[in-house]
Amino acid sequence: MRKLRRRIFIGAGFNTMCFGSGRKEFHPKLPMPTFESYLREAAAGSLAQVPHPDFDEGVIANFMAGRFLKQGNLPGFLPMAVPGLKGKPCSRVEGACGSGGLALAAAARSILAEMADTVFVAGFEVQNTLKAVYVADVLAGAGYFNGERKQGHAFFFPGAFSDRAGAYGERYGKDLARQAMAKWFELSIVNARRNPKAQEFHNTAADPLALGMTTPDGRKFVHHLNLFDCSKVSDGASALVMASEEGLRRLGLKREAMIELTGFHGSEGDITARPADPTVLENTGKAAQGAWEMAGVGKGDIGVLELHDCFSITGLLALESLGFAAPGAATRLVLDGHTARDGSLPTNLSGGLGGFGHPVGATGVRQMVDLFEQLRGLAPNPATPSGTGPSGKEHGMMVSMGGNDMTVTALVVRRAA
Amino acid sequence: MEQLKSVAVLGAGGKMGSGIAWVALRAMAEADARAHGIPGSGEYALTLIDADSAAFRRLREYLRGQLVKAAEKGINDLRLWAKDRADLIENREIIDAYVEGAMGMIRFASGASEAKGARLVFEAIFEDLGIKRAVYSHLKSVCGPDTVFLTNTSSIPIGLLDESAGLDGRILGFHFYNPPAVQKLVEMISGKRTRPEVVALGRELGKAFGKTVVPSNDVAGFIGNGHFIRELLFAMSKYRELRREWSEPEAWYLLDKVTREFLVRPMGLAQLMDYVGLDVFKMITRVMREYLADPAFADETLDRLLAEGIRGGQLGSGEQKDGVLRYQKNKPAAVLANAALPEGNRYVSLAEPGRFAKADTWLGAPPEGHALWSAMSKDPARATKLETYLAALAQAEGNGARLAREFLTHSRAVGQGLVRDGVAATPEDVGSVLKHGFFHLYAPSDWNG
Repeated sequence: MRKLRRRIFIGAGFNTMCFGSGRKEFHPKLPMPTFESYLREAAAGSLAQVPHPDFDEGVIANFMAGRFLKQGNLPGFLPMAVPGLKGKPCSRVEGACGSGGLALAAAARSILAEMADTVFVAGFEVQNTLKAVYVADVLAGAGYFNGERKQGHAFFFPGAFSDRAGAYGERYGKDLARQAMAKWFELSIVNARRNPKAQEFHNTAADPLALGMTTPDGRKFVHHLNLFDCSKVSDGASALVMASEEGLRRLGLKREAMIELTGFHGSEGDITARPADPTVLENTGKAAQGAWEMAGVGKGDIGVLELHDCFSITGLLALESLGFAAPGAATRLVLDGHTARDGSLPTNLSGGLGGFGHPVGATGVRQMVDLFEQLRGLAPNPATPSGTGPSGKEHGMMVSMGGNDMTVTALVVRRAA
Repeated sequence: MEQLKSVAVLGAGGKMGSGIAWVALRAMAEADARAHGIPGSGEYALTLIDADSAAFRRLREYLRGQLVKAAEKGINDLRLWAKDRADLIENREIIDAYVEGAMGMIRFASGASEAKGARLVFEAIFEDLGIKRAVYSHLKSVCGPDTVFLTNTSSIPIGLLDESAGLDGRILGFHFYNPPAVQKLVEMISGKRTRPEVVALGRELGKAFGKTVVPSNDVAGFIGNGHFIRELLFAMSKYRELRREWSEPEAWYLLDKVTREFLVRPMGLAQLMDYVGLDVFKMITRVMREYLADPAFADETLDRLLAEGIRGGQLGSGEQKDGVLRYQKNKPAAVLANAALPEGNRYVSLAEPGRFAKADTWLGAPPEGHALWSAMSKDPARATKLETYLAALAQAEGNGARLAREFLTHSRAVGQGLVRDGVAATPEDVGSVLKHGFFHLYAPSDWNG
């Protein structure tokens, strides 16, 4: 695997609050913040950390603004939020829920190609313009519309991942799978309650584990997932800055304020084909493998992890596809507390997609902002002991996944020095 | 169910009529969708009739809103039914097609003659024998010989309607509770000559509508009002008793509190009287007095209140109007002090510090095991808890407990009377009506005090 030919730094990250049901501010009948306001807020939060905001390029990630907001031509909103991008090349990337990961990869490639030294990256989604039953229509576009939608479940993706959860339970034990999914949900909530920007920050459920144990009801929802297994409908935006060494000097940023990208890799599947094995996230595994090879590190070096857990089962499958657990063994890894904030593999301390929320196009960028905050000691919910502390594991890793393990980007970072 | 293919609702613009229209439309749309994927095959027709055509616009919006909500909630079923419609893929497409198809079944009309093609005619017009008789006589002349009539009357004897309009046993009392879209109970009343196949049809309709059908005999008031009106009249006599010692607002306050808290009901009887409307209370009382030939069905306090313009009832929006209580956001906020005073001074705020402290002290607290209806109704162990509470109430000291016992004993006697007079077949049927129609948590026969 090719090594990075230039050093790439990431920093000045900012997430807006993740807005949606569960937040006290949220009321479905009252006017809600606009997508412009999220973008402006994320950009301002990022730029406040940059002494000389001078960018060569901008990349914006989003999934379905065309349907949620009737808005296309999104590159034009970058100069709105970042005036310095006026007259500079800007592009929008889309790979469903993996859009954010694609944006990070696109920015990295521009820097590697020496087309840019400083790139501003943003991602956003606003979905609460629609009721959940219609949001499902829009999100189903992350699957193969002509081939799958008609036969699919009303809520489509819960149906697709319910099938995976069913196959997983069938193979490795239904009760154990349910317990691990419930534990995954509990950890999402526990972490989110420590993250003031998380959608579940205000969650006051007395016993999240018991909620997670709710028996799925196929008649009302889907056969193998309950509502607590699913990330919700969310609004929000995230932004960060990526730069070469030369770029850092121009921006006036110090390495000590940054993290460094050490490896990244993408893997794409054929959206018209069905997964060969529903209990395996093939592209997630391939992307991670490529990122590790480029970074020259292995799974034992990862001190903090940000996974794409659109459903609790996705979190378990990702742990196995990345090799952190043998097939069927992610259940034990989670149930034994290894992924908790004081465990050996602190995972999704932001709350993840289930706890922080899932503003689709922002999520990949949001994950990187959280890794930045974890590794630079800025996180509201830091790993204990710190991932870069006594454990000696100085790397962080994220997986951004679009659709049903379709458009996947994995990135490995470490604290810059 | 073949008869559902052609339905008419008379009085569809009113509160009960519009609810019945929705219940029928939902069942018809579902049946059509099961057979054809999406409603609107042309096999089902619903004619909504009201003399006041100005009500149609609101009715159309109400039905469309209900359809959208039901379609969104039932999207799993909708997708299943529409599985062979290759052109309908997204939830939005399927829901829109469902709603449009169902709306296409509806025809609005102003004259009763427009019911002529209907196999089922639901009637929810004004509660007056003269008017109903005229309408049924007309319907008989325009409708086919198989048409079945379902009247929503809550008090007029079915046999009388049958006889006076010459319907030959094709009429059934089918009494929905307010609001029909939500309330699960339908009281089904057969007249003396109501045909057995019409009764069977009523049962089938109950199933198609997702309702609990409780049979009642054809005695004015039937089971629901047979109990309710007698209890309200009893409450009015208790009010007058309380008035000897207490001011008007205190007397209403005590009456409402004892029947809500001590009896563990969702509303006190003062509030329930406002909810139903004092004019409706009066009208049903009058009908019962006439057909039961019982002069006890009258009340001087009710007459006085109505004369003073105290009416209760609800606005079209469902908002509660002021009666013996004044409401803010449909919750009691003040109580009537003196109807003769100017509008602004008639009521005393329930929040006024100390205003009802003496009344509260006099009433005392409910005995051990008590919980308010809101908590008790959600308690999975409520059956046992209520049994314990009622046993404690039977022994408890204090004026509140004493008054509560009087109400419970009265209610039990009314229930027994309804069974004895053949209005209800069993005490369980009385309990079922009170539980489903009035949200009581126990039956009158559960009281052993």
